[in-house]
Amino acid sequence: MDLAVRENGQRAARWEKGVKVGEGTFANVYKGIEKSTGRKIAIKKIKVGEMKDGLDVTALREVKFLQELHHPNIIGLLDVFSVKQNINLVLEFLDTDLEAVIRDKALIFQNADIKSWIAMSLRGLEYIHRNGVLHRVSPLHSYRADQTRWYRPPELLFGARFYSTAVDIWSMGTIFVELILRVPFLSGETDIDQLKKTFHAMGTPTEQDWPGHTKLPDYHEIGSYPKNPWWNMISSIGKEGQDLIREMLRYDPPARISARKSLEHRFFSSYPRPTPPISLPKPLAELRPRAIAPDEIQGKPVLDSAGSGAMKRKAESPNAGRNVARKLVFA
Amino acid sequence: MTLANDSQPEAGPSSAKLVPGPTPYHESSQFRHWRYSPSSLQNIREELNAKSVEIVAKNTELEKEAQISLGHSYTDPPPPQAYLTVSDELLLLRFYCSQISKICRQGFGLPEIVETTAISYMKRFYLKNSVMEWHPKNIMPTCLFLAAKTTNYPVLMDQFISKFSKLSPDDILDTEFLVAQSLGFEFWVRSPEKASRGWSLDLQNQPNPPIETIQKSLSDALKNLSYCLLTDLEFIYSPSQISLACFHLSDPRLIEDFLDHRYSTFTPKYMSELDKVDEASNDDEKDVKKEGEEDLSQLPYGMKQQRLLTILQDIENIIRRDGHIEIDLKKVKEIDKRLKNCTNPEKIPGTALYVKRKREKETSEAASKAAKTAKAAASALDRESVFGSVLSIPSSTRSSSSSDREPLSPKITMNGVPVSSGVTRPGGAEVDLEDEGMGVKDENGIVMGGKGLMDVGLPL
Repeated sequence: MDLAVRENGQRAARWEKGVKVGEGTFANVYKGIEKSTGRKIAIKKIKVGEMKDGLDVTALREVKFLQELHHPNIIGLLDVFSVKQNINLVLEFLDTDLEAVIRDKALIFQNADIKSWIAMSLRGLEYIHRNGVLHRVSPLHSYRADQTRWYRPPELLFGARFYSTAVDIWSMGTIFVELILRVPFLSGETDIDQLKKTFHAMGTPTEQDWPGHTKLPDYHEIGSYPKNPWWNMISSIGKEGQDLIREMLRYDPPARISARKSLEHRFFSSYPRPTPPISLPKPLAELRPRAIAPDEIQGKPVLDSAGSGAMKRKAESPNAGRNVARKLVFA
Repeated sequence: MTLANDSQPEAGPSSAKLVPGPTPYHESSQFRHWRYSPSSLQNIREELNAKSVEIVAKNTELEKEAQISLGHSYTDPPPPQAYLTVSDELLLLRFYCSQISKICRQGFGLPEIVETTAISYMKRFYLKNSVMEWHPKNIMPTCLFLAAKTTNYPVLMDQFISKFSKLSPDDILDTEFLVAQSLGFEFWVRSPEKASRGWSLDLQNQPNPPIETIQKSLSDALKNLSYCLLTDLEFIYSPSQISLACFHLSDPRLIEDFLDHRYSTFTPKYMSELDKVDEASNDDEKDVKKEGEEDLSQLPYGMKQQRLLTILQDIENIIRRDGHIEIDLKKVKEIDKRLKNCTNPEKIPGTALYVKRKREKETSEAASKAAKTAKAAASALDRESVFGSVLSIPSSTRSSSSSDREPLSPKITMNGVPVSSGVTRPGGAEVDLEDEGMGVKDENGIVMGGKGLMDVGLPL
């Protein structure tokens, strides 16, 4: 037997695949355990067969980066193995994520909780940026295609061909606001509408706010909305928080604060202290089965079997506290 | 070349316990899984070669029996001296690696990162497989196709295949998965080219930097780097060491003066608050430092100057020895001819053994499929008994959608708008590919690369 085949077999034998918890056109996600320790894991099975151009570029990219990135705030890739023509990614098991937390209207967030989530996300982001990688997809694990638009920065909507780590900071900024408001901050229905909503909320950028933006390939003139102190609507987060968000949502990408500088912002060193991860609010329901990535569901109904988990009363597990939303998930 | 006995992690075999160091490189899969000592490289190759000879001999015997049972005449297997040796295999590998450069530079106009990554994939593949099992003429295009995708310069299959007159898409698709698997699904190759850019900046970080000398040295260093492509250096040293050696080779004085300056002015770095937090969270995984052990992390580049200079010297010796070899085409052809007689018959379409193995595989797959169908039918029956009969779905709509091969990738979108035929730069910039030439247009609209590729990568 070929060496590579034998090594693959040894790896595959370490994991046991359980029930399916998510389904998409290109990949399914299963619960599973590590046989030797019994620890919970997730297996993402990427379907490969029958593609005209071979292994899918998106899948390859996901594997390429997850293989190299190791950080407490980034979902861990524990192993990769194949069965027939499928690539199986063994991922750290997370039983909730930020999207599930935001959607659960029964949960009440305190400023300290929001600070904790944003700090964890920014630490993950700082690490991947330090390693020369852009996340580019909203860290919210969105399941509807148009949702990714809501977190997209104006430079991408204007068709910028060269962009930077600043795109991820914008996304993080909009999520920051969403955690405060509990509704998506800028929810455009089309790319143009997204820009409209953005400018309506924060004022149309001038040449001074954002030098050169009118030269971008897909630039359109989009009304001239006046500037107003929009940050008043998030005053509940406090002055430092408002200031950090405004730095994260600067129109001019080079002027936008970096992940590293964000972490040094006074918001994180001022009162209140961020909630320890173990005490963060967490949905009572288990993570629901659902479609797995925005662009993976075309033409397929979103899997709906909320059922069991959602109906249960508090499902405690001894280590429930550790499984909180604290990871960037690559999709 | 031989490695100093006191070799440190930077140059040790990857089987030894390598402790991840403080840089991103030390976290990379390249450091963790693709670092070897020269002797362990040799061992791996000898083992692979011996095993392949054994398998080929056995399967050739089986092929003979199979042919005779079919009533065909049969010529005897080659005598042992006809099998490829390790150095035969290496020469053939080198030849096909050099073909990748030719294709990237002349045919596709693909950037250097695709070229170097594809060559690394080839070299890694043949640390897990033998040339006698998988002919490099088939593996080479697959490595290139895969590398183009993983480095974000995907080429559509139709365009790719049109450049190889003797290949069909299936030749690539059939081996792509095998290659990915042999690479352990580790696709990120750290190339010394990037490190060279870094060094050229570092070199300016000294009093009165000799800017012109540095600039000149950079272009020489990059030239030296291309000589490294066909050597084993990437398995033995780190990209930054290799690139520094290439600078040293082009201008020893520049590098030695710079290192003198670095080592004489170095003060241990104090950690920033942020790094301390990072450190704290990893406390339990950290090894406890032995008493009396010198803390090398408090030295520039994690080692003493003398040690670094020795490493540079070792690398340069390898470049001088292996980097400039003219590939002897006559010898390559001779090896290739011998290879025809000692390729594993199991892997050659059309042999009796190939047909037999294929049939065995199909039978076992059919059996498992049948079991699966039976299971599904049983569970469907279960459902039926509870909820009544299952609704029938018009079969026509189903079969038509499932039988079509979906043109799913590479799926390139710009702001949600699919880009039909083009490659995207890492920054998202789109570059048009020319229809016949497969060249890439630069900013001035001038096509780089282009025609004339039909005869590259052909079987000899």
